[in-house]
Amino acid sequence: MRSFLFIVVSSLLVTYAFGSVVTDFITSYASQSIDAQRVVVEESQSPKIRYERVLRCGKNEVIDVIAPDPFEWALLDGKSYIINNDEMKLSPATIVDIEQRFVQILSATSTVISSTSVVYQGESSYEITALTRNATYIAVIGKQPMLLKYLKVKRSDGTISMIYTSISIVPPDYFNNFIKGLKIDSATPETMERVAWKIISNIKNASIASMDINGVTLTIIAGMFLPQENFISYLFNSNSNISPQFLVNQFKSQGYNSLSIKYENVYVVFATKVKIDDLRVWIKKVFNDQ
Amino acid sequence: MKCEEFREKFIHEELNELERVEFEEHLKKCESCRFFVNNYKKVKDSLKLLYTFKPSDELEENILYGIKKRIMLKKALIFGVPGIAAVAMSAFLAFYIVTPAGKQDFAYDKAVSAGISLLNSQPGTTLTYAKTTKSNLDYLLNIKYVSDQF
Repeated sequence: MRSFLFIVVSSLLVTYAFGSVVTDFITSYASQSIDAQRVVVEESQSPKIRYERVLRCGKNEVIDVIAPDPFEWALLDGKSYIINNDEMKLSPATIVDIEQRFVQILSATSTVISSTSVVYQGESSYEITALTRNATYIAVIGKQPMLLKYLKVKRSDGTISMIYTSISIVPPDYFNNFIKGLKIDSATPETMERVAWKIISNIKNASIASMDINGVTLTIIAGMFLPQENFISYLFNSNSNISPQFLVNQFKSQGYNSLSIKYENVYVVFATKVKIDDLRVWIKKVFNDQ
Repeated sequence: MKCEEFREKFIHEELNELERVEFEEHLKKCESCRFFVNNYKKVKDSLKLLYTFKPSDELEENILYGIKKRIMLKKALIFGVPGIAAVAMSAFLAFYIVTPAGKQDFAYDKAVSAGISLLNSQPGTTLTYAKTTKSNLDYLLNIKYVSDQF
């Protein structure tokens, strides 16, 4: 009985300590302002590796992807933006930063969390493990200051590792002045962008090009929508003088399966070798009800 | 060894001689690993430059000139991973897009033919295009690449 009580009391104390570390980290994270570099490696069916500069003030951040392909984006008040030169426009899709996802997970009451003290790169740190239904998050956080230095997320279909290679604490004005220097366009992304994103986000090996034919611009998106099956789609404004049926008939006459849909003011013509019913099911999934 | 094991050992430089040969053979067959290794090398090169090297103004100018030249060449020739079918398609598109559109339907026929070439090529072949066909929506591919899929 005495040992049982000891275990219960110890567990409560340890849980309180864990909770305290996590709470302190969440509070600290929201007020941090940093200029840092990190490497992100995703091991999955579509492996990725990126080297990024991170300018963060609380939960707002600007990520400048340095390699493999330069690209700059920002997260401001929960909204994703694309940065191009000195302009920032609303992204047609939410861009997920695994680090921000981790902070959300820590705040969720259903997350099981444990924490231990470790030495990471010679510095006294905490290792926090958070378990959700789908993933295990393992993070290393410095003790003074409480900066996230390493994060690994494991799921059945892959892992993401994020390693900070350098972190400098900067004044919040550093971030604010950077944002002030950008012209913000909060207009809703055009239908063409949104439709193109719906397709791109649901295929593998996506590639995109456009063809100007007699003054009409066709956006062409190719990729694989089932394992080992190529697929092509043509997107154009419905007010252009192209007949979607004309393109569909051309594909059909060559022995391919093809159909067209209209999404708001955009026509999309699809063509593939896959059964037409499979194509319909996929389109329904991607466009919800079309 | 599985792709993940190869990549993990490759990153940590833990491949022994036999495994290195095996991995090189594997790379010939596995496009996914080739893509990963190429990107890893780019990231590693960027890191090396950042920490070990401060270019002179003259060299910086030369590098910027080289990059501009490379971007122009890339725009002009190929987008994405080249393959035999992709190169063939690029030439095909380039030829037909610059053809004067005497007959309006002719150009659309060729757009369809370009699609058919791709549908007939190896699965996963990347769409390529001539200089005049770079899409202003290609940043969507960047969004897909930088967004963590969790």
